[in-house]
Amino acid sequence: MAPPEVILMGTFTGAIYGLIGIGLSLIFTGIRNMINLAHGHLAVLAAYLALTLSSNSMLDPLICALLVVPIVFALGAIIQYGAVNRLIYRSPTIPLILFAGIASIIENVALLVWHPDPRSLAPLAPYSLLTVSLLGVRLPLIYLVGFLISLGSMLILYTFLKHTDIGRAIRAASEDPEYAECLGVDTKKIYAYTFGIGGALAAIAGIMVGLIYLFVPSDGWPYTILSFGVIVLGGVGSMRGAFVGGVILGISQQLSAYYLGVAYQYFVGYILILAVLALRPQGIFGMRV
Amino acid sequence: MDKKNRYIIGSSIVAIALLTLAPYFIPLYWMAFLFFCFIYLVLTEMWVLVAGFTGMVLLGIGGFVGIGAYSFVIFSTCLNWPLWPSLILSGIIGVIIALAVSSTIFRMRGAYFAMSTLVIANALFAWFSTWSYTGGGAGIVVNVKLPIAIVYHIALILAFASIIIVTFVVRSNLGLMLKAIGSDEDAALTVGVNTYTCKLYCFLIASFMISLAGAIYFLYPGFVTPDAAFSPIWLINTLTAASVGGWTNIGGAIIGVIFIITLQQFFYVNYPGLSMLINGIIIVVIFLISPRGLWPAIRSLIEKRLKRF
Repeated sequence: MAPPEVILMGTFTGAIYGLIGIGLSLIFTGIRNMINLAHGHLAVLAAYLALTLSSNSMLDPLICALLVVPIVFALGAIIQYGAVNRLIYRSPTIPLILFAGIASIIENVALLVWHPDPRSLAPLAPYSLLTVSLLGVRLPLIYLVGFLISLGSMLILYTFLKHTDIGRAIRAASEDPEYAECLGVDTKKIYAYTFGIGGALAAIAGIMVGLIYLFVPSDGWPYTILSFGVIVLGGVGSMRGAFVGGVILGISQQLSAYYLGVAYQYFVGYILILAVLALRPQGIFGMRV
Repeated sequence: MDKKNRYIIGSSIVAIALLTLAPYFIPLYWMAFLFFCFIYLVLTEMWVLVAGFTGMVLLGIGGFVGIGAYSFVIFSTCLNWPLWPSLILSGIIGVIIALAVSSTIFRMRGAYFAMSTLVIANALFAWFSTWSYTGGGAGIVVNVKLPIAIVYHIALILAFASIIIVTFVVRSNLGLMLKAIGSDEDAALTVGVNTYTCKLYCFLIASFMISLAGAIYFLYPGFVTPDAAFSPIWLINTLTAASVGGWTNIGGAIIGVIFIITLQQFFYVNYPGLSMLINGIIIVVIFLISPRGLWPAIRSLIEKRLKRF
């Protein structure tokens, strides 16, 4: 039996993975089965922007997030409206190449501006050293903060999609884009909103991960794959599934880091994703591919 | 044989003769330049075959480069086998990996297929970063001493072979079926194309050639690290070369490859990351102005101009 704190830490980081995965899932279902290959890079970019903003203004990274997340939202909306919208009608794989280019741009701009050495947001957040006692185990407060913010963001997203006009339009465009257009939904604009929101979720998750772990510019690739893994595990288009998928990935990473060593945590995560793809491609909880 | 074909064959014989003799009269720098071109030409031709014609977006191209490089190191250095069996076996290991994952990844299509190849590449990367047998993340020295001219010639043969293979596959019956799959997989299935087998053949050819290219590439630096072997740079460079040369253009790939290697060498001295940044910008810009590639667009523009006179 593993120590309960490993499971608890896995659950808390897993919720953050769930959040970034929901972003990818929203883009996938919302915009014609398109995968945003630069998803992880948007998360890393948000972490770097928060780092710069926070170290220059001496404000808390979480307060800086209030500015960084809208910036990433706008960036995502611009990418979708200016570039991707022109390509999505041909095939869902064509935007992948475009996103590979965008990922390369973000990664190398980050390399130029922030240099390749690992950075962290933790030194800028004085509370990152605090610990809390929860269910009889002590663990860093920052994990709990990340968990709560991720859950809060999911609830806000749920309410937004359910009860606002844009949210309804996003759901309509993901169900049937042609029919939504007939009913007067400007799908191109809605796609821009969808991509912006997906990117914003990645940005929140990126800042949370940046508070907990170190990050480097090339971390975008593993983040993208982990968020793809979240929707593989949880099934596409299901917010609850993505949350559970994220938690499974988080716990499996923490357990493998505990038993096999930190070096193996990514390997175990990827093998888990491949195993689910091989055995149950519709996801553990998913109904359809 | 018409005049155009005779012209192409004649000029390629001259080019191959010049390239074969090149190590004896050009400086080392240009030999390395051509060597990089040959390696990337293999990757780009395979990309053209797999993604351009067949529509399978193989994002895990770096995974096969890495597996080829590491198999070669294991056979040649760790097990001390001779050069040629190690080289061929490293290609075969790539094929075995491709065969092992094919039943899983061919069930998926489009973006899911593409992402699953990327997951495989990263799983291999994560494994070789931790495996102490090959030195883990620190890498391992390739203990093969070969004159640079020999390495150059092996790469030349492989690059030439890749052009020949892609040309013949595309013109064959298989190529016709692959093109059908590329334009509409369901329609191809309906008219009786065995899409699974066709895709498998195409995927296996590509995995063999890419793994071999990876094995040969690391003869030049003589040192393999997981970061270099499984780097996303392989993917980005190949994508740039293919988008410059044209997605379904076998000859255009040569132009694309010369373009990216020139860019890489130009910025290498000052800042290596800058060429990758420019590659990213080029991919995005080309996709926005001419999604089928830059070279085909330029060529049709020139042809239109010539017709006017």
